[in-house]
Amino acid sequence: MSLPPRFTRPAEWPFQKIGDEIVVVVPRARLMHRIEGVGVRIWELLERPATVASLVSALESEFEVERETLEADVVGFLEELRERELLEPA
Amino acid sequence: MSPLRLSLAHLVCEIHVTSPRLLRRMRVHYAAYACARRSVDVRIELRTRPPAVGARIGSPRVRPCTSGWCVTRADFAVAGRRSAGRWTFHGSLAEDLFSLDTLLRIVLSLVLPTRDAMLLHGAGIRFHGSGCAFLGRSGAGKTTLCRKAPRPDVFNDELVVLARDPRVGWRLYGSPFWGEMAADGGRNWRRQRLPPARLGALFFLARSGRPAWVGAHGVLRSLLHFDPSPSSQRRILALVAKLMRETTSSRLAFSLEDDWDTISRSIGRTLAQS
Repeated sequence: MSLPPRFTRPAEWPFQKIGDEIVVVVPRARLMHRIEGVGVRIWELLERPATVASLVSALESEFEVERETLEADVVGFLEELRERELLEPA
Repeated sequence: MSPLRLSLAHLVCEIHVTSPRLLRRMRVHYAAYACARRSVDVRIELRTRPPAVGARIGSPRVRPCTSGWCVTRADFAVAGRRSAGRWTFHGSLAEDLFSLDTLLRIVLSLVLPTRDAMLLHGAGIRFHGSGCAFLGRSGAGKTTLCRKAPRPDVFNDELVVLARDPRVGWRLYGSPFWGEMAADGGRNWRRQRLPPARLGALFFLARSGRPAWVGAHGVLRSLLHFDPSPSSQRRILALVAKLMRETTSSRLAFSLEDDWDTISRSIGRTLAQS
């Protein structure tokens, strides 16, 4: 299943930045997820509706990685978020 | 019948039960935590009923309800709400100390976070006047570590409370909820109660060749917390973030052959950083 054109993080799940990571809790499922590395920055950017292109552009100026590599990493991370119910269409 | 008043961490719990027999057993079981303070933070009123012999107990269910929670299991059903700064829980309970003990743990796990405190699966040991909490999954070595430590310095081998006081920082409290050590060596450890201590450091236990839960993840996995509501989860996450920011923590690995002198050198190195 492909990603929706615009997406955001779900507003209802509690999360907290603790040290270098973000911990997200899905109370309904009694699950806890950890987000580390560049994922922390993507999670912050997902506060507002975003697209793959907008995320890649924002990250390109912060990380010294080729755009193709960055895009593949972003898409992979977003798919992981969606599987964990941590991403929804905007 | 006069109720039993217990000093549990920084809370005073007053427990009323209709069964004189159960009350007598409670007075013995929780003797070390009995107190005479008048100001009560949590009042628990329980109508006792005969225990169901051979019935399947199942897992407890906690549901948020008007101004509080409903807590149910086959052997108890209570509703708790907050009024004028005090929590009151009403309901019924099977006339059984085990049932009361479980209910008490759940009530504390719900109320403590509202007072900047948490009930955690962990051992507590006093080390040169500071409290050290050792968190870890079942089998991580909590009881083993306590058996190696000087016995007068053991807070508890199973459940401890970490509470944040804005004036003095984090404090470590023991609890009446002992693990395997409860009846060790013919001694009743339930009689032991150490005064609270300033939290010196937090350790994540690693044993049996399994990776330790560490950091915020380690604290959250060790937490006894039954409230599924997002508001409560937010409160807990914020509290854990403060704990990690304000406390020195480290992974602690030891083997069955290690003596306390060896282990305490590792503990001392971490405490020196705090």
